[in-house]
Amino acid sequence: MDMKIKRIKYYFIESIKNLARNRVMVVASIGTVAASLFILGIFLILALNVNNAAESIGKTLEIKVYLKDEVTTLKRMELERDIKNIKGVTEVVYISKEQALEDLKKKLGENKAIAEGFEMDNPLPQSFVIKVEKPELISKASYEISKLDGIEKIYDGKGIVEKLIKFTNIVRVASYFLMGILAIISTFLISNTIKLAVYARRREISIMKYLGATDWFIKWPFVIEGILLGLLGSVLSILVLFFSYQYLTNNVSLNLLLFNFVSAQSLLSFILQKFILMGALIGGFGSYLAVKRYLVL
Amino acid sequence: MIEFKNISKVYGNNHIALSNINLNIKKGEFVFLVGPSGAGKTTFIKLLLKEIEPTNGEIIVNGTNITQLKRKKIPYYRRNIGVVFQDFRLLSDKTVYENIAFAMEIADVSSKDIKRRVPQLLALVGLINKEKLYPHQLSGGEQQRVAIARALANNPSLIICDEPTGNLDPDNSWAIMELLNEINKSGTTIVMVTHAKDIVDRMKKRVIALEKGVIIRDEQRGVYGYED
Repeated sequence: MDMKIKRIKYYFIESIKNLARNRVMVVASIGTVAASLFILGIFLILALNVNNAAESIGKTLEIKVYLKDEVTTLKRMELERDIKNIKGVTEVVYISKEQALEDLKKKLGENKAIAEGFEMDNPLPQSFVIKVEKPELISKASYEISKLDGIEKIYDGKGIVEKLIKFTNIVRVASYFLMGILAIISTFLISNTIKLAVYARRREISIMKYLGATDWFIKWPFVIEGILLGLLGSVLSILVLFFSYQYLTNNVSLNLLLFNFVSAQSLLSFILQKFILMGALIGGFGSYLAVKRYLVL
Repeated sequence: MIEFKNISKVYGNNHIALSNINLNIKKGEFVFLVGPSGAGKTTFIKLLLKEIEPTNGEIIVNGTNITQLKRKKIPYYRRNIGVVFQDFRLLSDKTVYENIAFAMEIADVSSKDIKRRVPQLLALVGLINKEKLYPHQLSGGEQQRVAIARALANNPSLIICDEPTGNLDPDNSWAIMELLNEINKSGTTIVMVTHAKDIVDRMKKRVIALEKGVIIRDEQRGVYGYED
């Protein structure tokens, strides 16, 4: 056990010595790992917030059905019953012309004078506000409603969620693509850094071979060096993402938006392990390539 | 101890480095390998260290046919051979003590055994008070002593020396030869490549002379035999 720990300590010290020897390449390697994970992070921030928004919009989503003026009370009650029978519909609230005017005045607040004249000849239609079980059922329900008589217009807002999801998908493909390219560049740069480290230590390596060092005794410091580069890059990207996102959420007025931002803390807990793992993988793979290609044992 | 059976080595450019070499070195022998440059001495050592493979033939060391040795076993095989070079090949960022200890760490020797063995080796090569110095703070002769201590660290049964006195003045050369002689007396086989005529002539050990890849002379208590 004592031997194992000593050996691991030796590998780490050697790999840190290698890092200190080659600062320019080290900075470049860490920078590209950080950049590729940063781009992934921006996408994740977007995706997390879009999901969050879609969920909160989905929850409040309702179908507004405006009725033709000629619909009588009897006809209206018939419609209400029919709509209630549609699958997925959970609630149907009737809003009369008068109620609609009241609501409008409330919304206008100080400017309610605009609606003054409306009492004589109320132009607002009577309507139903319909709630459904799940956002996915909205389009089916609104289609069923559209088949009924006496309907003027239906607003179901289903387009919003679909557009959001479509938008997220485009961003996802674009950022995966960009991230992929940057990950390849980082792997290449790490591999190049390790190559230089191997080159700088070729004399030591040849001596170690004469002394009977196993291949892995020689390889480990280089592999660890690559993993450290990847880890440092991932930590850098996490820090930059966390603090810039925290700044953003603290300084952009939430009132402008329909939904709340995902908190910086939950972003951190979402990306922390994933990014560290990815950094280590990029670094490990880069050094694996270098050791395989340039460390002739 | 060492047996070469019909060993030939032909390099890629059809250069014949060794041609059908047969020889036997017994345990505890001290052998000088001499000959002009390009005679095949370096190839001989590289074959022994399993740095290169023979084109033909078999090499048996300590009863093991090393030509059939698997790649993975080579490091363990090398731990049983100490090597001393003309240019010392010490690790410049390690002290005298650390250089010797490192050879043992590589061979998985426990810290306890390393702490016990390194001072013994330092005493043997006469560097007890220099253990904390770095190679660049030592003279050539002292550096070569460190290299010898390192070669002995894992108790090898064979030490290969590639012109160990090539970079040293006559006094230091003789001191190194005395040290090697002592080591040989305690039972370690020594194979030494050299161009040092006076050393070979005075030591009166077995001399194997190579020329153009062939053994042209193999004498007990031999002489150098060249005028250079």
